[in-house]
Parts: sequence; structure tokens; C-alpha cells
Amino acid sequence: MKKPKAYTKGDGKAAIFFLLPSLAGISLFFIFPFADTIKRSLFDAAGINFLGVKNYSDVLGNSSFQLAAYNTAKFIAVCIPLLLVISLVMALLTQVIEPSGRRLKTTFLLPMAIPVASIVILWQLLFHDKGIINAALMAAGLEAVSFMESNAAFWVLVGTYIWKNAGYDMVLWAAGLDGISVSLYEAASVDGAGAIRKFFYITLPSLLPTLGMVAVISMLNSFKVFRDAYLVAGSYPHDSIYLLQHLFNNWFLNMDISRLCAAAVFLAAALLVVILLIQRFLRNDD
Amino acid sequence: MGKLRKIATAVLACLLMLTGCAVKGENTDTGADVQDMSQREGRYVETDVTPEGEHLVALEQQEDGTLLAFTEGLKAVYTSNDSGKTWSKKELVGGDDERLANVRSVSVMTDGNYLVHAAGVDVNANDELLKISPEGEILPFSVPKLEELKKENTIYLAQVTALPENRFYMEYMTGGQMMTSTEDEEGGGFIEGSGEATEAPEGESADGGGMNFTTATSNEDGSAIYDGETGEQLQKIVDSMGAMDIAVSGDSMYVADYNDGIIIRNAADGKETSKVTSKQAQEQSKMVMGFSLSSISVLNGEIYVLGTDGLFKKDKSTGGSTKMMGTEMYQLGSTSNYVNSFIMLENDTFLALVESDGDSQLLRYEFDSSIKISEENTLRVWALENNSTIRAMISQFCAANPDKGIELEIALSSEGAQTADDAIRNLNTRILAGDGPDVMFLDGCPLNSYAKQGLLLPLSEKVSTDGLYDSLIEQVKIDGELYYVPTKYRVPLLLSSEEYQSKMQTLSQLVDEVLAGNDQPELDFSSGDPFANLPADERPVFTFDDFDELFGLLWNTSASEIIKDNKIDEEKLKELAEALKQISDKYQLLKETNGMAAAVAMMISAGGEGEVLAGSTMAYTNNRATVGALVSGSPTVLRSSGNESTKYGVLPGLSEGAWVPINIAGISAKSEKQELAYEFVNSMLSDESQSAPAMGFAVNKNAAKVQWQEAQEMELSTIDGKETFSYDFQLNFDELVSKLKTPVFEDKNIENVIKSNLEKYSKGETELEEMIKSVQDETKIYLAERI
Repeated sequence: MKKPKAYTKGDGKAAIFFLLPSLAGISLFFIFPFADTIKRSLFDAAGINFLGVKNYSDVLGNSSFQLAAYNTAKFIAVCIPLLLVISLVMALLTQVIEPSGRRLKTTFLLPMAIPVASIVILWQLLFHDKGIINAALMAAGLEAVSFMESNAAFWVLVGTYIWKNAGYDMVLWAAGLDGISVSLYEAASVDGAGAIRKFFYITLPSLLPTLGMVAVISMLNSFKVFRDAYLVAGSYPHDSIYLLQHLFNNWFLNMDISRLCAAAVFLAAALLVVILLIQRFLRNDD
Repeated sequence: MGKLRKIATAVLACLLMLTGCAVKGENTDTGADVQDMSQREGRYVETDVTPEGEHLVALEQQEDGTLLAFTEGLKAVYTSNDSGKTWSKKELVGGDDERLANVRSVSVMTDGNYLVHAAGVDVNANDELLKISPEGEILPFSVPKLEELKKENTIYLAQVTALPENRFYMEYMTGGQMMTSTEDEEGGGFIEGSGEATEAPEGESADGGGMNFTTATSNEDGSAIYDGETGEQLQKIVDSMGAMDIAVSGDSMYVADYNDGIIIRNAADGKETSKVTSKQAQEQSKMVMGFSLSSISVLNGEIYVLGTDGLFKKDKSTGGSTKMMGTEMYQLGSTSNYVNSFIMLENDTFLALVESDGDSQLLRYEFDSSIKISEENTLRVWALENNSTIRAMISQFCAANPDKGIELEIALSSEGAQTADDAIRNLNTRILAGDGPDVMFLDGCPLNSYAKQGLLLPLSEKVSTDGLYDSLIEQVKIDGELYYVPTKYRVPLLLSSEEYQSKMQTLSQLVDEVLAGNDQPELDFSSGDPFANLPADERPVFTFDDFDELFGLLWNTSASEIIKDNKIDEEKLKELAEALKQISDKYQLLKETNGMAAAVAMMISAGGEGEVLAGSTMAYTNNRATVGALVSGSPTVLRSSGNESTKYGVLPGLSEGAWVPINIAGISAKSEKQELAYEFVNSMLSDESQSAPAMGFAVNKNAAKVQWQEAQEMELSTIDGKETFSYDFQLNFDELVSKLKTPVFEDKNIENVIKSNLEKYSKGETELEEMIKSVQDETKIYLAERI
């Protein structure tokens, strides 16, 4: 007996029809602009003279690019693991303390709803040289810290990022946790497995697909922290929080478009590589 | 619960609808407030009808339509019966009377005599109200109310206007006691005060680290209608003054106030008959130094308002305005102008008496509907900030090319919250999107980056530099090509005797002279004049307002040596730091209690680009210092700042012959009107355009001669009358230009970092090496981005 096809030819056409608006949007707002960016990176700003890879070599040799790329990579490398662990712990805790834990989830999302401008005011109140934290430190007989004019600025930015995104990631983890069959835990319990064994042998392996998604989303969200840094410290913050977006912003102001485009292509390529590596890692694990 | 949900939903829906209505209503209202007719077919043709060599002080129209323009001191009156096209002169006999030295307004009375408001010769003198015959004879006339008030107060008149039936309207204010206050060292600036000065109370001198300021309080003020024959008050109107300008038409007087619009009153009894108000009225009433920028006129019952932002026709019923003319293309639009008076005439013609920096112009505008300015002939010009020089050059171009138009876009307005970075980012976006302006004034922009990135058209082939100072033009070329051209420039100058000019050739020589000279004397605020002359042997070499002034001067003359190839030259920075510290220490510029060494800083011109006469110049001019220094582009200011022994040399610094290009014009490589843009740039460099009165030295040799000549021939008005310079103006442009070797382009980012660090070092808060490291740390990313 012939097995019936899952999809007919007509279904394929219908799928393309329904995907067209989305494809058009992606083409219009991503693919074409990115192609234009690549083109501009190979020409001068007026788009008249072909420069080849000169802009790329200029960018690689530029010390401000090196610093910004290092800081951005360092920020991602520090923040993402921290955020993933913290948000996972939060998700587990909210699951454990059911049913009130579920209600708490909403509370953890609140930092995302606070406008950046308000966060900046809070940031300044807390971390200014004469802010609340320094007042408290001095009251305790300790030395004040120049948070924004020292390497401490990096950790302030890390803290802000985690505080703001932990709730969101927690919700993503919670969705992943909800997808794990309860029967697995029940069977493990019958076999005498404790909470730790259950976590390492059931929860973590089951969450791997979620991990990939949460990691990629967190990484992309990490670029949004520039808004906070820019609003607090302007175009030229302390060296430790000078990110790629600072450089892009300043190069745009200085109309250094060709190098800006070359740096943007580098960034896109680096992100693509990281995302592909994550996918490969997860696929191998499957 | 379900019911509650329904109610909540209904309330939410109502709120949303109301919000929508409110937003719509607001838009509708704003839209109706100003209609723009300035873009209609045709254009106003501007003609300067100022009688040659005359300084006009008042413009009036007689009942029979004859136009009258009065000269300074009422020495003559010019009349016109052809709507201001031609004027004939008539001498007046009372012109030598010193009471007429400072005429504020002239109004024609019903009996044919002139009612003249003459301001007092100084701040403590009474304003005068005089009646003058058509021949200029001062007639006996007094106003009992003013005579009574004069006995104990100083009188100031704000408005005087003749009314029908030989009456007149007058607003007065009496100067009361002077209020003395002490400002912190941040204070300063220019205060227009009025009233009688009293000595500062003992103990309120400079000890507090500040300066005593005096302001007047008024004892009594008011406005009323008076009899033109007896001067008796007929009808009191309100107890406070509030008129910005007044126009009279038929039996009505139209009083434009500073806040709310226009009140129409019956000219006989002063009673309010109607009121024209709008939100726009507030926006139009702008003031500069106490003078309004707007003036009103009434023709055939229609109210017109003229300001530097345009000609508006007011709708009496709604208060809305119709913009009849924008001022981007006319001399009227210059930021340093204000409208003294204007008269609307038949056939869409009007006359405006415009004042600027002590000069006056009588401008005639006639609408010509046959002139068509096509889109192809309209150039889009962009500038970061408003600027009277740019406006003057645009009006010159438009006057010479009536079929060509210019749309001027000023990125930073006084009302806007946009920063310079925002404006430049916006410009960059537009350029990249292909929607940029055709011509850009690049002051404050990354002009070298624009040029190197190919965003500016090369100018060498199509812009004629014949007749310009070649050496200056050569210095702004990039790799042998001219991508932008400074249309004017300023120079950090040293004002001193020949002896000091030769003694101060380098920065170290300048420091040596300062150190060898006298210390900065304390200002004696307990005396009547804390800025009184000092005997020659008691004067210090310089006097600076504060550290900022000193830094500003030396930074301009040293910046290009400190930042080379986007790197900080540490040795040069050390040299500047040590020089600044030595001078600062010598004059105690950073001492907490003595922040106001000179305490006099004036901005000449209201255009925002004026010459700042800060402590060093003012002190030199007032004989409180041996040498003066300023960054100047105005021969007339230099002339009036010096004396017969003054030589003008380049202020020494680390750079050789520093000069500051200003109003730097470039053409966008993406402009679709390149030929027109070249034409405009050529026009700005022409003899005629360069010679027009504006801030900045001309880059055109012939125009520089004209500028010099104007300064040479200038008369300096003083409170005691007039003083004519009897010696030659000793600024030689050719010689000066030959010494200029280094163009300095402003970079506030670096300047601010270096200034704050040098200030800390000069205060002794950091060591030299520490300061250098701090500067390097704070600037390394910024500079690296540009490598």
C-alpha cells in the first residue's frame, strides 16, 4: 500500500505564499541593508572609489577597534554564562516553590519594563562618585569607589545586564522545564534518584535545546546594554566599557562610514560563527 | 465581575477616544495658527534704499501717505512719495541740540509737528519728550506728569506714539533706587540697568569673591493718553508698561505686547475694543538686549507683524498668522538685526528700518509675482548654527540673482533640544540617504573626514580663488585639492605697543614678560568705578577674566602643535601646561576668592558669533593692562579696542601664526545642483559679498581693504558725544596674513579634556606627569578612532 504524502505540491506553494511577507520584510530590512553594508565596506564613503579590503585591514589595525572588540567579547564571555546560570537557578526555584513561584515570575520581568532612561537615573544615583553606594561605603568607614571612572564600570554594566535580563531568561528556562515530562522524574524517584541526580540526568539534558535558544537570545540582548552605557557615560566612557557600539556610533558621527561598515561585517561574521558553533555543539550532543 | 470588566473596558475605550480627540484638536489648532504663504509664486525683491552715508533712527508715515525717514540727531529728514523708491533730503535746524543725540522714535502729530522721544545721554539721565516743528525747531512743550516725576526720579520712556486729534500715547517708567547684589565668580556678563547708581555698601566689596551688580527698581510706571498741546494726561490706560510696538490706524491704536498678542484700543479714550491673541503671538515676541525683534503695522484694517523670522499677517478673529515672507534670503533675516520700525504699503510692498551693531538700514521690499523660482534653481544650504555672516552672504546672492532661491536650514535653534552631535548625525544620515543639502557650512563638523571620504566636491576648478589670500587658501587644501573654503577667518591677536610686540614673539617670551611685570591688582569694589584706569607703572602685562579666557587664547595658538597626526605631543603639552600655570599663578586666576580679575566681558553683536571682549581686551582698552589679547575677526572692534600706539600682531603660542577659519563652505558630492552650488560659493567669495558688514576678516584682498577703510573711517560714539579717531588704524592685513601659517579647526572634545586637566594641574591638584598621563588616557580612544 502506498504511503500517503505528508505534504502535497499545493501545500508547498501555500507555504511560500504565507512566508512571502516575512521574506520580504527580512529582505527589505536585513538582507538588502547588509548587502549594502558589505558593498560600502569595499568602497569609500561616497561609494565611488573601490578600496578592496583596505577598510578591513584598517579596522583590524585600529587600536580603538581592538579595544572595543576585546571589551565586547569580554562582556559577552562574562555575562552570558553568569546570566544563564542565575536565570536557570531562578527558574528552578520558582518551580520548586509552586504555586507562588509562578506568580513571582511576573515580578522578575519588571526590570525589562523599566525604561532605559529611568534605569540610567537609578544607575547614577547608585554609582555616582557621591551616590548612594559610595555614601554607604563611606558611612561604613570604607573608601569610596569611582565606579564610572575605573574598571569597576565593567562590573556595574555586567550587573545591570544581568539584573535586567535574568527575569526574561528565567521565563524561557521555565518554558523548557515545563516541557520535561513529569513521568521521567517519577520513574527516577522510583529508582531512588535524588534531586541532584535528577537535575544532572534528567533536567539538564532535557534543557539543552532551550540552552541554545536562551544563549543566542542573551547574546543578542547583550548588545542592547550599549544604550545604558551611552546614556550614563556618553560617547567616550571609561576604557573598560567602551564597546563596539560606541565605536560604531562615533565613526558614524565622524562619517567614517567605510570603516564602520567593515567593522559591522566583522561583527556579523563573528556572531554568525558563534551561533553556528552553539548549534553544532547542541547537534553533536543530540 | 463581568459587569465590572465591561465598565472598565468602556472607560478605557472612552479614554482612548478622548486622547485621540485631544491630539487631533491640538494639531488642528497649531495648524490653523500659522499658515505659510511665503512659498507662493513670486518673491519679494529687497532693495536697500538707505540714503548714502546716513544713519537713520526713525521711520514714519504722514496722514497723506508721505514717508519720512529721520537721520541721527534729527539733522535731516528724508521724504518719499513713491512708496519709498526715491527719497529727498530736507535739512532740519535743530540738529545740533545735544538733547537730540540719542533719538529713539519720531511720531508725526496731527498739527504736523514731530513728537520725539530722545533717550538720556547716560543711564542716569532723563529721557526727553520733545516737540519739534517740521523745520526742526525745538518747540516749548512739557508734560506736567513727567515734570512732576522728574523732581525725584529719573524718567525712562518706553513708547511714544502720536494719535489722532493731536493726542499722544506714552508709556513711562521712573528709575528708583539701585539694588546692589553680589554675584559669585561665575557671574559676569552684561547687564542693562537703569536708574541712579548708589555706592556699594561697605563690606560688600570683592572680599566675598564676587562682584557687585546694580539693577534698578521702578518707583512708578504707567501708560496713558495725553493732550498734544498741553501735555495734560487725558486717560490713564494701565498701571504697567507692556507694549512691544504700537501702530495707529484710523481711530484705533494697535498695541502689540510681549506675551499675548495685540490689543486694539480706541485712540480717543484708550478703551480696549478687541484683542488678537494666539499661541504664535508669544513665539513671535522675542527680545534682544531689551529691544524687540518685531514691529507691527496696519494697512486697510489688516495687521502685519515683521520680525527677523518673517512677515506675518494676523487674522483678527482667530489670532492666527499667515506667513507672507520668510527671511532666509534677505538681509532682514540676519541674526544680529532687529526691526526698529516698519510700514506696510499698498501693492504688497513694505519698508523696514533695521538696526544691527549700531548701523541702520532702510530696506524696501516689493512683491514681484512674475519672478518664478523653480526647484532646480533653489539651493539647499545647511549650517549648524545661526549666523549673521552666512545670512548676509545668502541675501547678497539672492539679491543679485532674483530667479534663484536658497533654503537655509539651521540645525541648532535656540528653542530646540538637539545637541551638535545629534545634528551632525542627522546630517550624516541624510547625506548617506542622498537627501543632503547642496552646500554646507562645515564649522563644528568633521570636515576633514568629509573631504577624505569623498563627500565634498573638489572646488579648485570651478571656484575662483583669484583675488583671495592665496596663502590662506593653500593652507586649507588637502593633498593639493580644495574641498572646503573658509569664507571668513579670525585671528588670535596681541594688542600692544611696538615695544611689546617685539618682546613677545614666542610663548616663552610672553610668559617671561608676564612674570617680570606687575601682579594683578585687586579690584576695588568700594570705589565708584572698580575698573578705573591704572597709572602705567602699576599695570600688569595682562589681565584675564579667568582661567578659561587664558586657556582659550593660548589653546588656539598651540592646539595644532599639541595634537599632530592624531597623537598628543607630550613635550608640547608640558610646555603649554607650564606656561599656563605660570601665568595663572602670577595673576591668581584660580584662587577661590579672586575669580574675577577683570570681570568685564562683552559680546559685540547679537548674532551669536560676535566678538567677545573679555578681560584682557577690556583691561587693555581701559588702561588697566599693558597688553591685550583676543581672537578677533572684526576690524572695527579692533580699532575701538586700541589706541594710537596700538599695533596688532599675532598672539604667540606653540603654533606658528595660528588663525581660525570660519563659515567654512563645502559642496556636497551628491548635490544635484552642483553648478548652482559653485555659483553660490563664488558669490560668497566675491568682492561685494566679502565687503558686506559681517563678523570675520575677509579672505578677499579687495574686501579686506574695504574692511580696513571702514575701520579707519569709523567714529566712536561715546556718552560725551562723538570722538573721531585722528590716527591711522595700524592693522596691516597683507602683513598679518603673511604671518598666518596654521589653520586651527575647533575640536571641543579634545579641548575640553585638555582644559580640565590643565586646570587641575594649574591648581596644583595633580603633578605634571600625572596630568600628561590623564590626558593621554582620556584622549587615546578618541584619537585612535581617527587614525
